[in-house]
Order: sequence, then C-alpha cells, then structure tokens
Amino acid sequence: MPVPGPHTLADDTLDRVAAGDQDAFTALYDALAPAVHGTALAVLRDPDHAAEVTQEVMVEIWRTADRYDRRLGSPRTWATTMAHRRAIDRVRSVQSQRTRDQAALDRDRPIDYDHVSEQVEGRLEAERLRHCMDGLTDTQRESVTLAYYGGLSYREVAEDLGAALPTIKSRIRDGLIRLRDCLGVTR
Amino acid sequence: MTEDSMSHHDPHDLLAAWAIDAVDPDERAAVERAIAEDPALAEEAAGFLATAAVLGAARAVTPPTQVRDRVLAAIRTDATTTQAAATHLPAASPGTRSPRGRDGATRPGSTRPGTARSDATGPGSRRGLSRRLRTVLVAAVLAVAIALPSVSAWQQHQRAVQAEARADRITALLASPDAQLLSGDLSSGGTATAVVTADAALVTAEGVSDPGDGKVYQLWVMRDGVPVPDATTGVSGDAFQIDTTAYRAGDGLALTVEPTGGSQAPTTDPLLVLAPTV
Repeated sequence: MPVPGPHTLADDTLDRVAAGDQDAFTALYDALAPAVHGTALAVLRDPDHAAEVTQEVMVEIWRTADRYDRRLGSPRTWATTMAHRRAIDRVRSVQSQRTRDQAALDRDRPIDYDHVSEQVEGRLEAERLRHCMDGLTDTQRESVTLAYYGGLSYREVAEDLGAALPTIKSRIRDGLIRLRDCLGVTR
Repeated sequence: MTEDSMSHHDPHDLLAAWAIDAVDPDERAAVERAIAEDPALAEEAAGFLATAAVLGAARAVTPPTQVRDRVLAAIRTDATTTQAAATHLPAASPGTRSPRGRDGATRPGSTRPGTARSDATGPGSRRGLSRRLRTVLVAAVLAVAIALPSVSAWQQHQRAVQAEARADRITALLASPDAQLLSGDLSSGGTATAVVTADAALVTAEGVSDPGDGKVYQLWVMRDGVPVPDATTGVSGDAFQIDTTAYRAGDGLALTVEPTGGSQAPTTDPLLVLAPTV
C-alpha cells in the first residue's frame, strides 16, 4: 500500500487467522478495524450503524479468512471492500431516502478530508488522497464522491445530475483511473 | 432516460462502478462472472478495488472499544464452540490414551497452512472449508479412529496414537486455503470423505465392508482419465484411511478392491469416483 502504517501486518497473519490463531486475529483487528470503521462511517455517517458494520465485517473476516484470495488484493483492501459493500447495502435497504437527502447535501458541501483521524497513517493517506482528488475534473470528483461516499448507484448519480448513463460510467471509470495512477496503487 | 441492459454492454465499462459498489445486483453478478473468467479483467479489478479501498481507508478512525471487545468475544465463542465439538468424542475403552481434549482445529500454532498455489483457473477463489466443517470432520475422524473393537491395550494405544497423527494430518491439510472436501458413497456400502489440496489427498471411509481375505481397498489418483496406482489398505473395524502425496490439483480419486499388495491397473470396477470442482 502507498503508506505503510505502524500496523504493518506480517505476511502470514491472515494464514494464521485462517488456522484459527486468535492472537493473530487480534493483531489483524488492530491493524484493519480503523480502515473498516472509517469506511463504514464515511458512508453511513451514523456512529451506531458504522459500529455495527465494523463488528459484522471483523467477525466475517475471522470466519472467512480461509477464503481470502490474495490475488484480489491486500488484506486491507479486502476488509475495506467488505465494509463498503455492507455499508452500501445498509444505505440501500434502510436509509435510501435519507441517503438521497444526504447526497443532495453532499453536492453542496465538499467532503471533509480532514476528518479527525487518530491514526498517523490515516492522516498521511488522507493528505495523499486529497492531493489526488484535486487532480480529478470537477465532474469526475462529483460522480466518484456521490457513488462512494453518498452510496448512489451510477444510475442514481446519472438521474441526480441529469446526465446520460454512459457519461457517468466514464466519469467514474476515468476518475478512478486517475486516482489509481496518482496514488500509485498497483493492486 | 433509456434503460440499457447488462447484456448490451461490456462488463469492462462497469468495472470501476462495480469497484465502488455503484452497480445493481444483476450488474454486480455479471461483472463478477466476467472477472472470474478473464485474468486481465481481474487484474484491472484488483487495481480499482485497491483504489476504492484508499477512499475508505483515508477516513480511518479507530472504532469504539466496545466494538473490539464484542468482536474478540465473538471469535472466542467461535473457538470455544470449535473446541467443544472437537472434545465431544465417544469415550474410549479404559486404558486407552484418548485424544480427547485436543483442540482439533484451532490450536494456535498447531498447523502450518500450506501455501496456496495459483492454479490455472483464474482468479475465482476456490472456497476453503469453514472452520466449523473442519472441526466436525476432525472430530468425526477421531471418533471413528478410537471407536474400534477392543483388541489389546497395546493395539488400542497404537491406534489412538495413529489416530492422533491422522487427525493432525487432517487438520494440517484442512488449514490449506485450497482444501476441498469431497464425499460420496461406495457402491459396496459405506461413505468416503476426501480432503484434497494442491498436492495431497486424504481419504477417510466409514461404514465400509471388509473387502475379504486376500483383498484390500486401493486408492487411485485419476489423472487425465488414467488411474495412477496408489496406496492400499485393509479395514480396521468398518473404517479405513488412505493418504497420498501423489495427488495434484485437478486430479480425481477412485477406490477399488484389489488383491493384497495392490494392482498396477484396476482389476475391478471402481466403488467410488470423486472429482474435485476446479
């Protein structure tokens, strides 16, 4: 990952977790829970909902560590992806209306990348992300933000902005490619 | 606003939207199928997922302490359940050194997970076995291994020792991320369960009949449709266990009855053929 943090995980941590090693899991929890919780909180905005998602995801990691496929990314990517997906599912099932209202608010209020973070690596990463986000066009940034943080599908983004579907798909795609290249993310 | 259906466009176009969960369930499924079939697409997907992960991780914030407490309590409960299952074994005869009390599946440090080999099947991850399933299987094997007719205290002891060794082997095999569990019924009666990994297989059968004097069960590794002879075994009670390191990912397994000493090619019809899903 771009900025290794103080909680750099040993390569075999997940293997040990898959074999049922509770100490290894505790280390894994401490390393990954902030990213998981931060993701859930960014999407859900509600601390209780976010805490529930974090708990679900971390227990799920313990139970499915033997299915983790390193070819699809680092443990952190795996955990964060799971957190985002669950948060989005919650948004779509429980709070779709609220989210739409929230998305409307988000359009008028830039995302706060200075979100208080207790983690040095989080601050560094937030700084990098802000820098890279600045490299997107306004429309790319808007589409990516509405989708990732606002929980809107690309169809909803298109509807919301009164733009054509292919346009929004391209904005999301081009935006993510720019971010990927700027962040130096390889996997 | 025209609706465009998934069948009319390329999953490639939706890959980025998929990575940030901005697609509907049908599109999600279509993209994931495409990823499973196309390594280049999977590579691109991995890059998008890692990028999306930064969007979340950059907002990292330590969750409340209660969350940590609850999660760690939940996994301890999991492990305790596992331990209970592993220790829930039939009582062995007096004088037997019983493997009871061993934590079959979750003793930290007891297993060295095998290295998952990348197979040629692309990025679709082969499902590992759930920890619970492992536990149940290990417990079942131990139960079979020690529920043997009383022969002599020494033999009993030997069998218990062997059972422990076998259980250790099963546990080690099951810890491998690519482990698969196959099972089927023998046409002659009984059930066989195989744990297969990229380079080993362990077959445990229960409720089988004695193959008869001068006969043994023989295990065959089926490679490209050709049976490769492997180990043979007699039956202890109504169970047997055969393991092989001749097994390679994608091979099948078959059991026949052969004359003692085994055959170079099967002389009888297979009682069971097990084929892994690749």
